[in-house]
Amino acid sequence: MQNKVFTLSTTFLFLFYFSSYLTAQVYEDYIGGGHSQGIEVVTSNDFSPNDWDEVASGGQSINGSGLDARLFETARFLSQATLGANRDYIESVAEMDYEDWLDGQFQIPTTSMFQETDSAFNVALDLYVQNGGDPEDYFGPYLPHFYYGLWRHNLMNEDLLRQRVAHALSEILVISLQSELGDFGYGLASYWDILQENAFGNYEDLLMDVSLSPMMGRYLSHFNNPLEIPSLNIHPDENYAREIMQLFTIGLYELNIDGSQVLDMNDQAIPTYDNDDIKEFAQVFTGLGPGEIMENPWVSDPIFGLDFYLTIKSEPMAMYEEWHDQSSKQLLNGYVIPAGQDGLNDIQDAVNHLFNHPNVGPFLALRLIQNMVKSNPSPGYIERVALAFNDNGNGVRGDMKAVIKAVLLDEEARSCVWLNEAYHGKLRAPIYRYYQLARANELESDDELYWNVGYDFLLLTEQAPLAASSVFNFYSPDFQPNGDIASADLVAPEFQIHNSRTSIGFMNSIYVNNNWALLWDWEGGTDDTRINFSVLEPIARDPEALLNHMDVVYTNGQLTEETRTIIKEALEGIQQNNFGNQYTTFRVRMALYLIMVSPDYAILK
Amino acid sequence: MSKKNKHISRRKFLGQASCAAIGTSTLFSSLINLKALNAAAIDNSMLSSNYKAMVCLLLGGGNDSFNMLIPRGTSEYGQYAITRSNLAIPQNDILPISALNPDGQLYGVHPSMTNMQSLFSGGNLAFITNIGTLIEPTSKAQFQSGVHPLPLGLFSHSDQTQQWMTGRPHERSAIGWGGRIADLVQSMNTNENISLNISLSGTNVFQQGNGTIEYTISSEGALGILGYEPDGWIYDQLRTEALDNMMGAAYQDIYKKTYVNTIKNSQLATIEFNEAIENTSDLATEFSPSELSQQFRMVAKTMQAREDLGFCRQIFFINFDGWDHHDELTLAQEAMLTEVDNALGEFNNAMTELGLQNDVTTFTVSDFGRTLTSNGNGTDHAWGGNVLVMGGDVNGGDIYGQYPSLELNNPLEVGGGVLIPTLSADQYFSELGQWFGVSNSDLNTIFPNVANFSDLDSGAPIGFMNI
Repeated sequence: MQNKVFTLSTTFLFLFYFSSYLTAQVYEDYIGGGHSQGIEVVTSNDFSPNDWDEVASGGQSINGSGLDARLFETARFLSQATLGANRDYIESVAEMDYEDWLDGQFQIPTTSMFQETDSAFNVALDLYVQNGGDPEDYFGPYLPHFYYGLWRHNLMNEDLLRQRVAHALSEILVISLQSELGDFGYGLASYWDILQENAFGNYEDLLMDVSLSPMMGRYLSHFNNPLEIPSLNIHPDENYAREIMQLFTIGLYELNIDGSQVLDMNDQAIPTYDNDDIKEFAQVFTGLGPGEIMENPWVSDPIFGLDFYLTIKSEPMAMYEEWHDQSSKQLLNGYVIPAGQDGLNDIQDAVNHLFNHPNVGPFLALRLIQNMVKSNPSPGYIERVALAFNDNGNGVRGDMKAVIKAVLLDEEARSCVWLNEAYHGKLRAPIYRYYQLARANELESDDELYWNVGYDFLLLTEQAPLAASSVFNFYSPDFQPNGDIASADLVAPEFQIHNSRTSIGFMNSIYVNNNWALLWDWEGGTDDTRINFSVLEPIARDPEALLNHMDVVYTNGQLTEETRTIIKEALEGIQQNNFGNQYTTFRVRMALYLIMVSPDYAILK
Repeated sequence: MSKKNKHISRRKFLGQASCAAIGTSTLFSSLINLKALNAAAIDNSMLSSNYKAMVCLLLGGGNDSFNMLIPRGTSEYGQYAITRSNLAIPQNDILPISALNPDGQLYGVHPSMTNMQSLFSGGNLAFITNIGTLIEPTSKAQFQSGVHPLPLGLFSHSDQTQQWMTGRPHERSAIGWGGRIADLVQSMNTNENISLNISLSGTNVFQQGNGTIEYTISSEGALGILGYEPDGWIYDQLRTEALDNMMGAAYQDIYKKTYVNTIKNSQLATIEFNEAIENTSDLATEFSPSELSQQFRMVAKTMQAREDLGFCRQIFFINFDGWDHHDELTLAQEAMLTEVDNALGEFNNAMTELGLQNDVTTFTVSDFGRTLTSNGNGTDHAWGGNVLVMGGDVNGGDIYGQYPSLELNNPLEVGGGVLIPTLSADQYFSELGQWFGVSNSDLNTIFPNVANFSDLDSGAPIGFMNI
């Protein structure tokens, strides 16, 4: 595996002196920008949930940026619903009704990530050959090609909501390329296609597609999983049986519709399943093997037990009845799968059985809310989303569109009265911060490939798409960091990867993005992607105006007076007399770095 | 040992030197075996007798280790030369070694490993042969049955490296055995800011615990926040001041407060670590300029600062990557083995200089062995391979395990020159754990499959450590 290693050095700084920029866009400073005298824009009294967009706050009246309230609100909405937005996009959505925006997003067709990966691979292969390489020596497609496709797509796409939901689902229905799966680029892309194609579909279909995915089959070992063979002391693998319950559908304990645990007479939580149940489910997931196979010298047709390598990873696994356990299976709450059914019917029945468990609504509601909006939703919020899962209004259970609307349009997601609740908010996960930095800025790259492998980012922050360290995702929904959050008995999942290493790792990643490159790949002869700072240089003459811009795009109006003052002091230390004509560039870079690492940005309120 | 003695020993022990914080640990009893405790209490130079460290050197990518430890007897070499064809090391170039308990065969090491040759002769180095990831002992017939439990993702870099780091070949785990040991032992160290696990190679599964993670440094010391330079150029000064102000501010919001505190504590640890290193005296031992040697130098410097930093137990991790020699094996491996040989030799000298020879054990792991057969000018992914262990407490001068036949189609060879290992990597790790002072019951939890190979209570599983 070729890994481009970068060396940090102050010499990179000099790149900025000699770079020539494209003609800078003329930036229209907004009325009153820079003259607010530090009056805080957001206060609890200035907003009412129902007519936020019609009222300019007192603070905004003074600073003259009265219409920013709608921009702040919209930026916050897009922080929840997308992987990041630039100012133009925020302004355009600010003029829309959010439900209309969601409906519009639902209509945008899916782009095949398989195709994106395939085309990135072919371009990369061509480059390799052009540079004198032997095509036989070029490996892939594997994980970098998947990432090239994924990143390029997510910098140019219009299906912003679909990609955000696919990312959220990838943190629930986890496979990871931190295993041999990283060798299989088409498989990774096809798994992504399952997530994004079902993102606005039905959760039951998603569960079925995931259960039959060879990538999941290999990751959780129900690929080539034989029925019980007592003579050889072989019993069905229990891995997938356990995780489809614990992590994909119902969780460990019986839940009420509002996400709270059902308690027995002794005030104890009631387990949803026990080890015997796992054994029954394990029998269901026997007999799945290769769907289609590559041409090879050994076998012409797929057979059970064939090496995973030969399996075509974009095709669902096939059922081999002779390896499937045909006995009856006692599933949960008295449900029985009768003996003698076809294997795929068994799996469909088991998936349907789990899908209809009353836990799934609140289970999925909590996870989606935590990913998109806040770590500690109120029981009422969970309940409203769970009810939408149970019935979309037309009697359909599991309609993802209804669930997504319920998550994003809920009063608790939208109303600013929640901003002042101590437990409202969440730590933005590092990968979403990275995406936002890329999506919020104008980018420059000579070859316009915009490829990114993001592997250094993964090493620094422990996060990249489909790269969790285990099936338990990057973080657990009930993780409690020590200190105030645990003392308050609250959870904060993303803090599980905010530790002594990754907290600084993220800052250093931003440092590199700021000083050298934002995105880069593992190919030879390609151009890195950099942030075009020049766009913001005109307003950087006035630190206050620059910070007002940052407050819209990054902190959604939540930049506190204290942080604003700290950053402003740093910006004011950068003057023409000590930095020359490039001083505005240095100011933009400084502002971007400090905003990105500030608690006001890291915590999404 | 009587109860009374134990009590006195413990108090005496607690009264001494920098490892005193051990007494505050509720894990005390399960952490250190009584022998170590007693020895510590008797010896006045408690620190040097009590300090123990392991250094894990990962040869990432899969070292072709049957060209590192080579048979040189006429018949065995002949077989080796036939199987390895154009990749075989010329017989006359092999550096001979003489194992203490010879199996009737003669061995040698790669021509580039002069330091390893002399360390082996001096009894400070041992090899373990045909070792690999295993869930249960496995025969060729079982391997071919398709239903015998085998490690997940055999021949895959990511899965196999992970299993050498987790000791869990049956599952995809994110928690490493170094991390699991740290979960048990971390509280022995007085330093709460800097982990027992120190990595020279960044994030790694080996040192990831349930409650602990590794502390990452580079060959220059702790890295900390890039651009945090109070004495740097004006731009970095402004940045530093802003960061100091952000970290120094009070936050009402509990998420913001938690976010900032983590950064602040980490940066304080950086400063503390680098100051401690700066306060150490210069080492007389010279290290080569190669990055690997410089990393080992920083390991030695960190050990030198152990008292200042409050460390009794440490685990270091270095990943020396780039052994995936599908091409150009002979030249590339020679260059890399030379670097390893230099770095290990230098590190051994530094340990002698610091009087830590018996307190530090360095061991290698690698993804897998490589195919015995040549693919033209390189080798592909295989399974069983050879590793080396270095240190004063190593029962050196010996080769442990059964050096396999290198003939194709032998009972351990499953095609293409892939060998089924006859020792489990988990036996190797359990023995290192025993030496480190981890109880057998804890080791059986950390390595759930080791009981399929060894009863830890009946002694060291392999015997290469002086426990």
